[in-house]
Amino acid sequence: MISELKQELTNMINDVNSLNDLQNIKVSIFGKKGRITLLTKDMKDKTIEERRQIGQEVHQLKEYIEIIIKQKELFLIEKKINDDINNEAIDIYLPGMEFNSGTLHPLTITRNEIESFFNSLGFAVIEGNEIESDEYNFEKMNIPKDHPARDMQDTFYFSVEELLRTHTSPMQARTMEANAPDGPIRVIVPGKTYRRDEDDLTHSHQFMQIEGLVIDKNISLADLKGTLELFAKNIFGSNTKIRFRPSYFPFTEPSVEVDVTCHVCHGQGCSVCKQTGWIEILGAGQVHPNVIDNCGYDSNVYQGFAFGMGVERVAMIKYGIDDIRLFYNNNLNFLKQFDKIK
Amino acid sequence: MIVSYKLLNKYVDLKGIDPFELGDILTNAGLEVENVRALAQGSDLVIGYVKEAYPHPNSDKLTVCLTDVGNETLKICCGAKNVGQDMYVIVARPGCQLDYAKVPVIKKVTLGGVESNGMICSLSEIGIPSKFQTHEQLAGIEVLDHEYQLGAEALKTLGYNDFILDISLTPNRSDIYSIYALAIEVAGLLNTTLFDVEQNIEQKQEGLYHINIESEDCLSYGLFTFTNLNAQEGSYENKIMLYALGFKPRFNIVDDGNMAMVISGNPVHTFDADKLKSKKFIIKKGLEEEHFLALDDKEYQITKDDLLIINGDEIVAIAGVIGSKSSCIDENTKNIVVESAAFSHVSVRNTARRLDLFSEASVRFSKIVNSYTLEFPIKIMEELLNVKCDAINKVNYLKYEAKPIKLTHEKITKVLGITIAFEECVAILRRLSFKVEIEDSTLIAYPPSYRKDVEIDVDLIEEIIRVYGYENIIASLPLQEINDHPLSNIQTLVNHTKKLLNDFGLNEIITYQLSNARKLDQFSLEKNYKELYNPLNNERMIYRDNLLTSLVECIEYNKSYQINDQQLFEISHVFVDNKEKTYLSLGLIGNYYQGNWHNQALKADFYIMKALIFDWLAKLGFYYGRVLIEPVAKDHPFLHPKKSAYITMNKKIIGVFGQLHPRLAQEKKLNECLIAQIDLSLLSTNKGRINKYEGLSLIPSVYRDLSLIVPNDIYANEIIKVVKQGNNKLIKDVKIFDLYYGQELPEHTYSMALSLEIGNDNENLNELEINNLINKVLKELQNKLNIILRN
Repeated sequence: MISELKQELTNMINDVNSLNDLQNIKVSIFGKKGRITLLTKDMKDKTIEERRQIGQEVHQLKEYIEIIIKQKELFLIEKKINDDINNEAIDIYLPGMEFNSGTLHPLTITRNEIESFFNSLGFAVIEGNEIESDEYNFEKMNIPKDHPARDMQDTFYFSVEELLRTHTSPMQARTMEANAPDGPIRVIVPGKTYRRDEDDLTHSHQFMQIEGLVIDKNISLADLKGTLELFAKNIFGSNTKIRFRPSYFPFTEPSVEVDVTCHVCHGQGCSVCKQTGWIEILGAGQVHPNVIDNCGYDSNVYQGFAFGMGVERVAMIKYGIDDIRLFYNNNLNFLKQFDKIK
Repeated sequence: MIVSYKLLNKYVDLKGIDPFELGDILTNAGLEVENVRALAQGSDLVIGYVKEAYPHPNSDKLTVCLTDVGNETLKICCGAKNVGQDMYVIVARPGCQLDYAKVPVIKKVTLGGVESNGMICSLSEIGIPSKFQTHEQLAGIEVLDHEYQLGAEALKTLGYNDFILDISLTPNRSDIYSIYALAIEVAGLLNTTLFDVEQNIEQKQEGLYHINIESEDCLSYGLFTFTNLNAQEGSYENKIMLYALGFKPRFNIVDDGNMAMVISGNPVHTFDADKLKSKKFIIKKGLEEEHFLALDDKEYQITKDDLLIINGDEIVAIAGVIGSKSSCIDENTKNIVVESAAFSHVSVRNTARRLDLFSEASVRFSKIVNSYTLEFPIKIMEELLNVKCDAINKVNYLKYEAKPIKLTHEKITKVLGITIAFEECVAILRRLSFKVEIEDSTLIAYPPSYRKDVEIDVDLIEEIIRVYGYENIIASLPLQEINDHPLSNIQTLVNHTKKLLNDFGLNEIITYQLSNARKLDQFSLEKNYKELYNPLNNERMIYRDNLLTSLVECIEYNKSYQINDQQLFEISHVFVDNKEKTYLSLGLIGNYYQGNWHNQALKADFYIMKALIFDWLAKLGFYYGRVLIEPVAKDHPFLHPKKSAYITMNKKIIGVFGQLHPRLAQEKKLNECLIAQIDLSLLSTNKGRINKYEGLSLIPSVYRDLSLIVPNDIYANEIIKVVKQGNNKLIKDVKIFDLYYGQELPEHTYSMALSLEIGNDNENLNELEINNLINKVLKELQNKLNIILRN
């Protein structure tokens, strides 16, 4: 009889398909009026021997049924999880939430890169006013009135004495005066500068320059070369080489134009570098003794180098931009192209 | 500066160096060669003679030419209208390469049944630019002027075997406007022979003229008389040379004067001696209201700044710029007076610029010409004209005495950072025609007269290193004591602000500083403008006093590209209160946050702009409380008076923000555009609170929500102030989580739902304490603001 019941219950449990039904079966077997519970209901009529016999059999049956219920339960839980998972399927190809991420202007990004390179070499970053005096923009920089070099940079004037700086160099004079007569100087000066040029593909009446100045007793042209070599590798890639070409600036002597190997063809010659393999990147030189003397140092003792570069030019080369006006149009579709970390 | 390789080679031994290589060498030495090109192109061209020419049997346009090229006679069909019998011509035989011809490789062909064995060339076909040709030359084949040896190599025979270098000169090297000075340079760079040329002419008798210099702007003045000349055309080769150098050949007196200028660098002006009415020359400044008929047949107005050459009482030239019609030479001229002078380059430059008269001569005079070689062009003219000068009148002709420049070997090493052998330094300077004396390890250099740019010792160092080669400098890094030089307050503020606004999703713009009053007026409060006196155009005349003008312009611009959602900022200098300050501008339009299938878009409005500003300020350590807002003036010109606010700090207005005034919004079609402008210079004078650990409460807060009925005229800040006041800091935070306006509320009221965060950092509050607190808050709201609980 017990073995028949065992078979019947086993079949019942096997046939169950939901945790809910299994729970009901559990009650119908082990509850107060459950099938197994009822087996021991009229034990008082039985002998001790019979009681023990029945008790043992019922116990075994109970243990057995509990195990298979437990197994069935685990099976059904697993089955439910799997069913739920399938029911919860989503389209992973739908777009995610759109974050609002801003961008810095490409000139700021380029300026930041240049600044952080020079920072790592111990250069301080200083800034100055854009409205300058003729004295600081020209006279102190060894460009007296009627100097032919004043033709090179047509100037916006507010008055005879006041102008929009044509380069960041007036800060050379101001920094030297602040540190004269014997303070060592190692600074860069980023900032907006102005020339009285019509705007076109390569000219902008407003542009951004970064000036560099190092003054001490033994700062040489070789030091300038070393500094700019590192700069070029840092900004344009570790394989970049530089070359100095003699040039002329009133505020440096010797003066050089500095070219870097073309980042597109790596010096082989291509349309970007007009087949020369080189791209002109900045002007530099040893600070002219007149400038040093004009600004409170003794040029017999102190010397150093200076350089100046156009941030637009660096950015145009780095990003392959062919029209300088794009920087100042501020089309968002342009600005948002420079959102990568590096 | 245009240079003929062939002409240069007359003064310096170029050792047959390739012109392109010469170009590279000059560029590397600081004379930037922008272009090198062969004057003419074509391989294997020969001189031919058209023995017989007759019309093509089957074509109206072609002529059949039997052309003798020395060793054979070629039958050539020629399409040029000007071809004919008994002409010397340039012939391209089959196999010849002609890059500028329509068919670059000449082949034997059959044209209309007649065979054609080559081509008779036009100048264009051998690559001569059209600007160097006459109309006749452009229209047909080149007809040679006289007999040549048949079959001779055409380009060489005719003088086309030349190369043209275009050099861009830096202002300090205006000496290179002389071929001879360039020859000095090249001799130094190539370490080759400079052909010594006599630059002075023999002593002559005093001329008939009397010269009176009455202006400091005339430094030296000389007149050289030549008599019994025959004006005649120059040779074919000379004409080609002049064309190549950018001159239009005329006749020998003019042409030779131009050549003399190109070689010596000293411009000359030639008067027809028979047209001069007086023997008396005065050089002085002009008077206002004078007129002058120049040799270009134009009349020019003289000013008191112009330097004039006056003969008798007639103006015969504007010094260095242009001569008069009345005294100019022509094909009938027999006797001439050649002027060779030095004028103030500033004076010539200003006059040339004002009259827009930039000739080869005035360009040279506008730089500094060599005033010690004034006889050099006359010497060259004597040779070219093959006539000796008869007489001379000269004033202030100075003999060059070089100023010694001392330079120690130690200084060379110190400036360059590398050691170049002393002997080599001396040798380089000598190669460049400097006279050098040596005393131990010090050299004393005397520059040649051309090198006015070399004045001090570092100038000599530059000469040495540019010849020695910059590529030979071994790089090093500057060694010096470095001091900490922290960024200024404003620099730090700007850097942080850019980073934060970037994180908030704003895009940085950089706009022009120069604008005009019409545009600035809309967003300027003071309208006290910093104006340029020489603006380039009407658009850019004023250094701006606000950033909003360009910001709104930028928003409009992007709108025109259908970019409807914009989040912009700019940090820049402006000129306000008579000084340069740093301002920040912010602009929002359209959605601040993009929506998609997943979440709704968030449209930019006053409260998003407010959140941006106050989050940014809080991150800088300026919390609400230190920074406050207050309503703007009722008649604010560019902001919506009811949707805008001042930002104040220490009772000073540091900025303003809000919605663009509806009037401007309508004009610019910018609906619900939010803008802000903040004075960063002023903000940077304050210090933000710095991060500090404030302890950590382990006792959890409890939260209670209150729904209130609020009279319409009560503002949120008043309610929060009352809730927080006097509650022993038990109310840690108040959030307004809902606002409701509805018919069922009492008249002139609205409903506000608050969530209070209540807690005591030291002990748990019990229910009774919390209820007491809430009741106290409600009571105060009712007493002070007439606010009641909404059931």
